Amino acid sequence: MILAAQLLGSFGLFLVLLAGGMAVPFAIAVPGIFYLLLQGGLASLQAIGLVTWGSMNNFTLTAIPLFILMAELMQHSGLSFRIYRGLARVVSRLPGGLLQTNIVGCALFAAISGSSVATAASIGGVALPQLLQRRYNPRLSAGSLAAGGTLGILFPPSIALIIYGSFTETSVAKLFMAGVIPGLMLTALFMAYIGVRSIITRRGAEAEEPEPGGILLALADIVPFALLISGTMGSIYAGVATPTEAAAGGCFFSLLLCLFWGDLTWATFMAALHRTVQIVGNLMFIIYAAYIYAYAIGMAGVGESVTSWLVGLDLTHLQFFSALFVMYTVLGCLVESIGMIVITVPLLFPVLSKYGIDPIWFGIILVMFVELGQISPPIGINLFVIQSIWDGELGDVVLGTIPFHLLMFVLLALLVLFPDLALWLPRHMN
Amino acid sequence: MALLAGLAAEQGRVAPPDKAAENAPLGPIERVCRAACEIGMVAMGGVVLVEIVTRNLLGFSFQVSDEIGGYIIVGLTFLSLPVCQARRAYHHVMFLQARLPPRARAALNLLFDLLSLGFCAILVWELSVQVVETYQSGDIAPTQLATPLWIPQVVMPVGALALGVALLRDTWRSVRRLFTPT
Repeated sequence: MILAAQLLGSFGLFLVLLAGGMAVPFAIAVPGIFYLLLQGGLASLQAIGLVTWGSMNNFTLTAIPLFILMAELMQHSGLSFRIYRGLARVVSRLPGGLLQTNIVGCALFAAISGSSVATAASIGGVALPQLLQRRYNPRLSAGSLAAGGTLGILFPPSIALIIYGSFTETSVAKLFMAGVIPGLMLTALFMAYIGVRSIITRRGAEAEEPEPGGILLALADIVPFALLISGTMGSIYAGVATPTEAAAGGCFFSLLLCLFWGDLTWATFMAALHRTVQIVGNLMFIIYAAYIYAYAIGMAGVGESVTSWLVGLDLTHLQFFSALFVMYTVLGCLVESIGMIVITVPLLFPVLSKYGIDPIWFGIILVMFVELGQISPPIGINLFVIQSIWDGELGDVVLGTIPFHLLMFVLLALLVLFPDLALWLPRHMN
Repeated sequence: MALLAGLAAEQGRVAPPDKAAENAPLGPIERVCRAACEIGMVAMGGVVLVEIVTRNLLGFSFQVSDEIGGYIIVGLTFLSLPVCQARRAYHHVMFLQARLPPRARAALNLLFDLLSLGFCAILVWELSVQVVETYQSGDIAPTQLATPLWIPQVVMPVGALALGVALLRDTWRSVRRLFTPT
């Protein structure tokens, strides 16, 4: 009972600091330190040095900066423009026109970037002005980009899955492969919705006129990226490379792509490096803060208490999933996405084996919840990314994402009913 | 064609969402830390690439990429701290602060700065103790390189200290904002 009160107190402090506007990593770390002090006084802080070294000296995490650098190189060299242009020549012939290009563009960029924000910003920056100029429905335009951006963490390489893998010691390569089929299904669901909606409403989203020779020109734009993606992900699937090696190889080949297909100069290269340091610094500090928090709750024995309490409830799989659904839906509205993973996973992961839940399947479910959080007001980060590009009303972006929200619920339900949608591909890996 | 021409016109508009913060000036400490991070990142890519080439094409491995990669990620984590603080790159949830009057907002920011400083002071102390203990006990990595572990560990207190300097600057700014008549 005391442990539960302490846990609720530290988690409450975290939420208060977060809602008050404290930087996310500090808002995680400060309650962790308070909790440590509460448990064992100043002496309990002595292990921080060892915890720091033990948790952060972690080769799994090395894939993160390399994948982020790869995406930043692409973005700073204007290659997201080429992806969008190439796809626009092919996909915009479908009902829904350029809105379809938004979704496929996001899916393709997601397979390079690993980050929802990078995906939404890269494709949104190119697409939104075009969509508005051509009088596409503004809500649907903004909504499709904010929701399409979330594909960034479902398709491999996914930063969220690397972080989940490093906290749970689950194979990142298998997690990557588990995201492929759900990612393709979500892309198909989004596209089907846009197509059906534009056929029914017949307003503002007609198919674009094809241009002569468009397919060849499109191939010239898309094929290099397709080769990069298949090389990076194929090497992981075939067991030839670890995720970090695939990231390093991908970085090298994206550098070549940016040199020969993009506008890479020394200045843009340095700008990409500067930006990567900031993104990586932000992520790594959140991860580090979460390790401190996890150590604090671990030292207090809260993990074991939560596990025994949850196991004692003897829930069915469906009840357990429903409880997760409620918890993550609420958390998604309050807690920043990576924060949501690192705060909850150390507590929930030990419960999974007791309930016979596959950790790889759970990783994908967790990422789906994070995706939902990224487009949930008031702190869904993709909403703000799109609004900052668009300069429109945040409310319109939120309303535009609602149908996509519902489609994500459909995929979640399918993943619960048919776990093999996520687990089939990892089972067939080398 | 109009679509493609329009797309071409928009090519230059692709920009990160926090462009203003990204252009904030960096002090000498942050610039050195950022340069170290960037060199580390490129070196990490290089080491892993060499490992791929030697293992797959030449049939042998230096078996150092895991170890060096781990050290570099620790360095990146800590040396990027002052850069991110100076550029306000950390995510903040602003929906509550945005509704507060300026003085209350300034007071809240000062409180957060002080709490962050307290956390940072604990880090500097504990991480320094860790490095000194590792040095005194002569710990080395159980690897081919047999790296004395205090060497990669020393970036941890250095980065935390640099964060402390950046935080002190922000705290001073918050104090001035709180006591400057609006």
